[in-house]
Amino acid sequence: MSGSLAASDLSVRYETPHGSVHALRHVDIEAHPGEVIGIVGESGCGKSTLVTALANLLPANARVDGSIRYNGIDLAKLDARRQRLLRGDEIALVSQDPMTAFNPVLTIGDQLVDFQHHRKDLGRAQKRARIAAMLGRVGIADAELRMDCYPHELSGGMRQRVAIAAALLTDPGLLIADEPTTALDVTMEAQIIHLLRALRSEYNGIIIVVSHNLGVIAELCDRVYVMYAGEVVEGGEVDAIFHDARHPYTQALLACDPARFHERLDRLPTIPGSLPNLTQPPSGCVYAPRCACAFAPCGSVAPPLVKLSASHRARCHAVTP
Amino acid sequence: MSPLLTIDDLSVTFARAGLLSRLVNPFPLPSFNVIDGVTLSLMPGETLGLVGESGSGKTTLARTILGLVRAAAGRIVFEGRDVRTPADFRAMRRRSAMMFQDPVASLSPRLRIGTLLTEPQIIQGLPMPDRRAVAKALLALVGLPASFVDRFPHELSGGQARRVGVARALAMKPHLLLADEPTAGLDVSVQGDVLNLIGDLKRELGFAAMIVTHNLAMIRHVSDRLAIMYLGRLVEAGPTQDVFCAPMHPYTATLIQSEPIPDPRRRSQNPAVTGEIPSVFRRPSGCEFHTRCPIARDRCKTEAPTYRPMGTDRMVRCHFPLQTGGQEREAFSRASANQKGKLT
Amino acid sequence: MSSVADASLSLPDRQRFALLRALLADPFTCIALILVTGFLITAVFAPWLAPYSPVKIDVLHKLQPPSAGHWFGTDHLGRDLLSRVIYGARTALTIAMVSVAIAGAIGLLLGLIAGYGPHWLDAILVLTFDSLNSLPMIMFALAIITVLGAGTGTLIIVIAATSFPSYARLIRAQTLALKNSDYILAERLLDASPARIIFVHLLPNVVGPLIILLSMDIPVVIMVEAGLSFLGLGVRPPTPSWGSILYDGYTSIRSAPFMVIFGGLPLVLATLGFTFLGEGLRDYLDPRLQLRRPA
Repeated sequence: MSGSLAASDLSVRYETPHGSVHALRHVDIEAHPGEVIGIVGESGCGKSTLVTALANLLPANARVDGSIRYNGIDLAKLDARRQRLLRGDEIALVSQDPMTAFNPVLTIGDQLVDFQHHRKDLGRAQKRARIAAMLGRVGIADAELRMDCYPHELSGGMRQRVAIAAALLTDPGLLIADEPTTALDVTMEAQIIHLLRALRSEYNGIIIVVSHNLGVIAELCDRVYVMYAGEVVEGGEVDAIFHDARHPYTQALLACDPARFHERLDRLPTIPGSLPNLTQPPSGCVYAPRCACAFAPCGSVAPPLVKLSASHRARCHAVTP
Repeated sequence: MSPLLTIDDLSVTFARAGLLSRLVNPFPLPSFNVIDGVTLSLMPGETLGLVGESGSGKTTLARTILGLVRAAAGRIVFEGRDVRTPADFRAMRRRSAMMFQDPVASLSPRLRIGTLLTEPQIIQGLPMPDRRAVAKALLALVGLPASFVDRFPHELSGGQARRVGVARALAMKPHLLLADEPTAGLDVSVQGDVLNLIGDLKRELGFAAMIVTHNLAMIRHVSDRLAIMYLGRLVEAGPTQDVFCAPMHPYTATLIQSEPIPDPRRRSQNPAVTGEIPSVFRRPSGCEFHTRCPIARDRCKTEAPTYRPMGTDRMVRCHFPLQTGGQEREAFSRASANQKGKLT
Repeated sequence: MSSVADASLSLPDRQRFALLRALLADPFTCIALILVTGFLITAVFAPWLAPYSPVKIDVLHKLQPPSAGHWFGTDHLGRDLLSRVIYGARTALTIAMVSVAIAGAIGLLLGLIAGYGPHWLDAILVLTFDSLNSLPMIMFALAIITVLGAGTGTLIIVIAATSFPSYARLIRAQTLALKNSDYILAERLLDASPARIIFVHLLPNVVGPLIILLSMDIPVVIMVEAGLSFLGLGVRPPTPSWGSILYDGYTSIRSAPFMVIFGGLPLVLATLGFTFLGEGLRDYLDPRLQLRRPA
């Protein structure tokens, strides 16, 4: 089963002893089967909150407004048991550090057998055969041998491959990869990027890639959402975001990446200023205090989401279609 | 001009059993060279980028230079003097400073920033009539507000803690700064801030810097020379622009090709290198890169290449270094294209 | 996830009395604080609070049940039981706090030296800790008492000598974990002396768990003191002690059961008070173990 995912007007706030933190505000996101969606932003932009909200794993002190519809079902309104079922079958998460995703005292094979517990129709031998096939598909040689390894016996790149295999075993409609290459070395990172890209041709669900690394996003995604301080400030086709960015934050973020410049720069570009305090989000545009082209309404009026093309949107007063 | 720092054939050995356990234990642990025969030099005022992946020994090398890790062989010469005894290292440390990878973890958690910033002077026994004024001056140097003197390390953001790290490193006006992953964990909009700050202060104070990193995109803009490490050995060294434009060692070439490009129109077609990074505990025979090298030949499996000069200012450890426009480079692109066909 | 929420918060100013406020937020800790404060006041102001002298013998009025004149009654020698319980608090708390403080100080120092010092010194110290730990406490107490004679001082020495090794081992383990942390390496690069590293940088970071352990050990020591006094190995007879009240009550339990009750009650309350206080401190100082406090 695979269907579309749509978060509309999604807001999440955390109730803390120091007041409520508005971690996510009025986020609209949609994804269709077969698409690779990128979510990019710097620390504190709310991308982890968005991922946990999509995976229905928010902590108890989180309050959610708006809706997340997956295949026509509102995830937020499901009861706990059906949420759990959905999480096991339909939504799979690959985290940044695969070491923490595995139980250190069980072999890879045993854990992957357990991951298929909902498949009552399969025997243990069949499950192991499925695992071997899946490990082979994610590029692990000697799959049978590796199944008897413990997580610490595998390298970081290998563990990330196993984590991807584990996620795909349940044949999920939604695969969320949260910073899948951040903990890896650059040569391993390139391999995982290519693995994900190779997999998408055979996999017809939605893949969401969350990263702070613009290179990873550009290499992998079809459509990209750029987040800043809990809001999606711009979204669109990957080419539009990287070559026709309209929101000043997206432009500044792209300009900061030293990987874009081949000539030596005397000074690296930066974005001056700091994130707004999310316990009291500004009434106007969240980026206005750091924005180079802020003008009169930016400080007081929240900017509308301007439609620039069929899929390209930016939340900015200065942008016109 | 004579070099500020010269390292000659430096090796560091881990897990070597002591004399007593070697007598008692019939199966002593074998020893491993985590740093093996590293030779490099650093001129005054120069910035050297030391690049390698995890496990390449780059952090261990930096710590060995300052005497936190003991070298098993080789020599270190700092400002024309041999550094051998603990007293030599102390004298050297007085003229050098290190920035650690995790800026918050390298600040003593129960002390205030003001105390931490003036600690170097207190330890050196320098007279300081007004500690707070000195601390505030240092904060101003790195562009932080004076009110930070009363803060604790955990109350700072990553970028702010990094600035405090810079201030603390430069408090004693060192001649050499060793920075271990100065941008690790920083957002792309903040890492430029820290690097620009180091660059500005370098121009102002004239120290030499050695930046240990795996971030190629960043080091390209801030270093004068590069040294590439793989499994505890240097495989290539040379001026930064030359190394980036025409890498000679196949490993350097694969590193540069592996960097994801932030441009969807220029997506890399295939990964530049396959296979896992071997461990120093099971160092491959011959050339240590032959297990992953797209142009490895039989000779590479048996005979370890020497670290030899190429041209006037470059060093490479390879039997068949890539020459600009030469046969090997074409062979490399062909071979790495073939290898990709075999992948997943 | 909470890290995400925290990261976006601006850090609050350091609140004054944050510790006290946090401790009072938990009902158990609140009760514990009241109990402990009550016992401390009782101990300090014993001469003003006690209606009679705790050692004044009045054999004509022995084993009298509680009355308006003697709220807790009198013991087998006619001494006022309330006064003896009040002075007993003084004995119990003095012995407990002094011996725990001495043991804590020795344990802290030796643990830091063992953890940060050279390897051979560590080996010697660990061997010492282990040998002291392996001695049975009662046997050790008997041996010391044979040499020094029973009394408050001896009791303190016995308790301190038998409890410091476990503190030292806790501190040593903490120190070993921090020894190679970045900030200690950074201090070594600045050529800070070992003494400076130990006292300025290691001590404040290892002392937290020790304080928790110490506060949770105070009731144990009160019990040990009562137990040894009950056996006649503790404080010498005329000095009032909860243990000796219990012993006296035990010999006349049929004629005067109230003595055991009034001797045992403060013991139970003090034990509960210090234990809850220790747990409250642990919850505050070690956030990983926050079980009772809501998120």
